[in-house]
Amino acid sequence: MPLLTTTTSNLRTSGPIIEVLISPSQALRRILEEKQQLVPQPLQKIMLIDTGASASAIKTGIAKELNLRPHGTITISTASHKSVICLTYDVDITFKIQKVAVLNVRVFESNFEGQPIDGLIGRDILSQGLLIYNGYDNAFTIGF
Amino acid sequence: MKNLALLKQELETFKKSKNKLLAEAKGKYVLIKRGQVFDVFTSFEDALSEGYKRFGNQPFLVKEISEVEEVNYFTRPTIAR
Repeated sequence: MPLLTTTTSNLRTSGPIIEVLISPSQALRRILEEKQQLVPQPLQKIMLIDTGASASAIKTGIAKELNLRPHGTITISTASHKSVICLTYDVDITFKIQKVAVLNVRVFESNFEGQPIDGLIGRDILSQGLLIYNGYDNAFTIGF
Repeated sequence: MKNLALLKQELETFKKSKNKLLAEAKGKYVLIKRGQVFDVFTSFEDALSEGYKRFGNQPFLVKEISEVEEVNYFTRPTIAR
């Protein structure tokens, strides 16, 4: 398992953020290619690795940029919202430096207004990998 | 809810068909487009692939057939849109 360690100046304030590529799922790309339709290019985004999130989310508008259609729903509860049902989209998320892709991730769109992130990497993705949070050294390690 | 409008018909179809689906295919994944249940699949990925093959890049519903909807928790004050 290739591991990537990232060091920041202040991990407490920035959080474990990581660059990813978000693209339409492999299944959709295959169909679009077969039909000789335009395949949207992957978008480079900044995601926060969030162990407090049981699923992953993307910023509102990304689904439209990738020309995605919804294929499911998810029920979410937060400190301020209980059992809200949201549409989900399926995407592939590629960890840029490691060039590791997690396929068919079901994400919902959320408003991260005022926050320097484009989404959350939740425990659905983390369940497939390893995460070490080294607060003492302002570093974190992730591997898949 | 407003943001569910794109899958409104599919969600209603799932609701109407839920008891029958639970009796026949609990734990599997159902593929629904508009008012029609097309098939059930062992995995989400298989249902999704079939949905794309049949309908292309259009809205359709792939849903796990379970009695209780799983709730996903977020400690961050994520606001659903």
